[in-house]
Amino acid sequence: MERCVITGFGIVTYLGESLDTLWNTLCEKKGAFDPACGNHPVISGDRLNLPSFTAIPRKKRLYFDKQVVFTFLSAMKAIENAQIKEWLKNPDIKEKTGVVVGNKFAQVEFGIQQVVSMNETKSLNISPFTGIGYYFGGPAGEIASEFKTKGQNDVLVTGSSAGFDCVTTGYDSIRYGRNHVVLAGAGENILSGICDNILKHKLSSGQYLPYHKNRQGCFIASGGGIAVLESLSMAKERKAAIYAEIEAHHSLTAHSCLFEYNQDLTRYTEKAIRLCLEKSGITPQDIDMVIPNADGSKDGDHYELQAIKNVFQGQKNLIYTPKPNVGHTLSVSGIIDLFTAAMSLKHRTLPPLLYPIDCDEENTNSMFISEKMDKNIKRVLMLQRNIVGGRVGAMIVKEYSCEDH
Amino acid sequence: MLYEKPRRVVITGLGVVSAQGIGVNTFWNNLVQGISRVGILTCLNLDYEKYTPYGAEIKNFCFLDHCPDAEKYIPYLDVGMQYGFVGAQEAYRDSQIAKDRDCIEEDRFGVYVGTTTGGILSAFPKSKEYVEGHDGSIFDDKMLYKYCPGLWAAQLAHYFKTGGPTKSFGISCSVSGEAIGNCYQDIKHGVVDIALCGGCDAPIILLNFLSFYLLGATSRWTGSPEGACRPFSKDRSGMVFGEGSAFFVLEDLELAKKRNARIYGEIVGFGATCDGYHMTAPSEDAEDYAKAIKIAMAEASLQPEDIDYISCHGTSTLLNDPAETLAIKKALGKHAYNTPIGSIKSMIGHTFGAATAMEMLTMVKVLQTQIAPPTINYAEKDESCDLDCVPNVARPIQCDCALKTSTGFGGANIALAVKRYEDD
Repeated sequence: MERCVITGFGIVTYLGESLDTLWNTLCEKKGAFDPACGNHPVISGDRLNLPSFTAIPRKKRLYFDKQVVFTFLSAMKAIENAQIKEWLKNPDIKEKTGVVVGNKFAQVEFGIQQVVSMNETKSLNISPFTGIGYYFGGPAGEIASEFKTKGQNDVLVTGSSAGFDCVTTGYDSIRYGRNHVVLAGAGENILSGICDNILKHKLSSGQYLPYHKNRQGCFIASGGGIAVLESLSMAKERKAAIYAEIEAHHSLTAHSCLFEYNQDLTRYTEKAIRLCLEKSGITPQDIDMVIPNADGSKDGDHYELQAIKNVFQGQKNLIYTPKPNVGHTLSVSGIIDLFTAAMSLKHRTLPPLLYPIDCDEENTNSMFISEKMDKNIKRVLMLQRNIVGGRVGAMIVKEYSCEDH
Repeated sequence: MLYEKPRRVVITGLGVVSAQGIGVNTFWNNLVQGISRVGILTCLNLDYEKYTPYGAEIKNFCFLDHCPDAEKYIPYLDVGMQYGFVGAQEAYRDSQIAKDRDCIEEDRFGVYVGTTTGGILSAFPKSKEYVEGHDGSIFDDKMLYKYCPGLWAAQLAHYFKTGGPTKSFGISCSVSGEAIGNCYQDIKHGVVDIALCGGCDAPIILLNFLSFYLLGATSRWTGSPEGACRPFSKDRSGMVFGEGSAFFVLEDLELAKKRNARIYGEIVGFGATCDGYHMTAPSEDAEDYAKAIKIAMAEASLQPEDIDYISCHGTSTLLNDPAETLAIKKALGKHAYNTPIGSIKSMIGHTFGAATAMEMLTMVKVLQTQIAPPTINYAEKDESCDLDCVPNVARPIQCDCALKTSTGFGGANIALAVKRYEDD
């Protein structure tokens, strides 16, 4: 089976479109939500300043919901970052290039705008593009038709783990030989007044402090993210710069956790991690960093941490999450986590958590990465879980080495 | 574990909820009789003369009649997912897995669900209330379960106590083919041993209808409503809406044999491509659609002469039907003219997220019964749709191997190949 490597990223957050800015923000312990200004747990799509917006074809701008804009711009940026645009014009390559994207809230804002239009004008002349814009699969088709890709597309609407699931599905399609290149990712437009009400039981009224004994929940944020996945043979052929290699993944469902988390979440998370390690043929000691889901919930963080502790047995300076810096970007968070993993491997650096962790469990504070550290990192484990429901996933990303087999 | 040698994937359970009836037998018997369920969608309160709002609604559906033990889920289920529960439950029972759960590892039992519109039926009225002045608190956490499809697969996992991967898909109108195709691949490569997979949707809302109407995709037929959907006929003018669900139990052949399961057929090939051309219109040369069919056939080592029947997407739109016909001809060559094809949308409309699964279920019944259901309302030959669509009357055929073709917005093309099961 083909090996799958990461050769590009495009990410848009409240910080803008620069990958360097995002990475530096993480390393410098900067955050999205300034307590001095009063915490508000939402970064809506309106707050994203995107200079590249005008690069989107004008006609598409008329009907793109911001959710599509964020996904689409991320794809443009990822293609640029991977320096693969010219290669995608090759008929043999475009035939094996797929778009695998997802989201949680689809194009809610565009849909609401049409309802407003009907309500205000008392007319049924809504946008003729509503059918294109107001469904979950829109971004995949828009990206594919713009870049003329012809491989197998997929749209994962698995919820806040969708970006993560798109990466694993893209990885599988490369491993199974169905695609050579996959643009994998997600986009999310958080509509204030609606999305935050739907998720209010998960949002913090104070700070976003995952694992902290005073944690209350998370902040949510809009954004987009795409990773360029490639078969190793393709990446080698075009002499692409390789960020990292995806080594294994495994997903399970703690089905009893649909409405409320319980101890099964620990059991299934631990099993997903162990199966992932088994597929990689490695031990817990071979993992240098864990990027957990860390949504700041009382129960979710508790059960997730139990699973990590069970597997890693007090390993120090292990756990890091970028979520407090950029907010929980729901489906996009899997791509930001993947970017963090790839940059940590590339720079051989463990980024520091935004806030010091004062955990309510004994002997666990040392598991968290509180200060930036140089380390010869070889492998990162990522964990994802839906913000509700019991779906859990684990993925191992490793430093690319041409000597590995 | 990942298996180096691909495994064989068989179908051992079927379930369906549609305007043709709830349950496979009713559905199939009504299809074979060529009964149309298309009527006027009075629920939309539209001017009939101007909008010709046609659709095939599921009448008098009562969720608890079919899932009496699932009352606690009702506040969390969009109607589309209520259809999904009932369809999945029939498939689950049909496969008789319950008695064999001891030999199935819980975390190797997956759920794969496709939906095009998600919980739009739940979200639209709330959106109207919000726009009319209610504050956002009318959106609560139950809307999360109803609207976001990610939790639809998780709801089935909870109900059936499955612990493997739960995946919800949403590519376009071919989405249940995407779910089935991904499930097939995961069983074939050893990610799971057994799974519930299929699709469901309840897409009949004003906003959705208007958008398709304004795109010019809905039927402008002015005769009796039953005749509004006319796939492959020269006088076709567009699609009509439908709703429902269809589900399968797919499993590794060795597991099916171990538990002496009834095997309806074997999935032997899956192909998926993208036109990379236009968001709503199919590519006129149909090259990439044909490629999807060729990929599915190649995976199954099938020659054109091996194909005995094709269950088509057949939307009855001006653009889809010729493109699909051309794709079949490019993939099958001259044999296309010897191959019966068909579109059940002529009777039950376009069920969006359920459509490909329902049409694949139909194909499985063709393999089982050796009868091809009719494409009704066929009146006049269109030179660009010149294949044998089994017009108007069902027909006995010899069928050992069949294809499901499907397409959708964004240029997504899908083909699935299914054979009658034969042991080595």
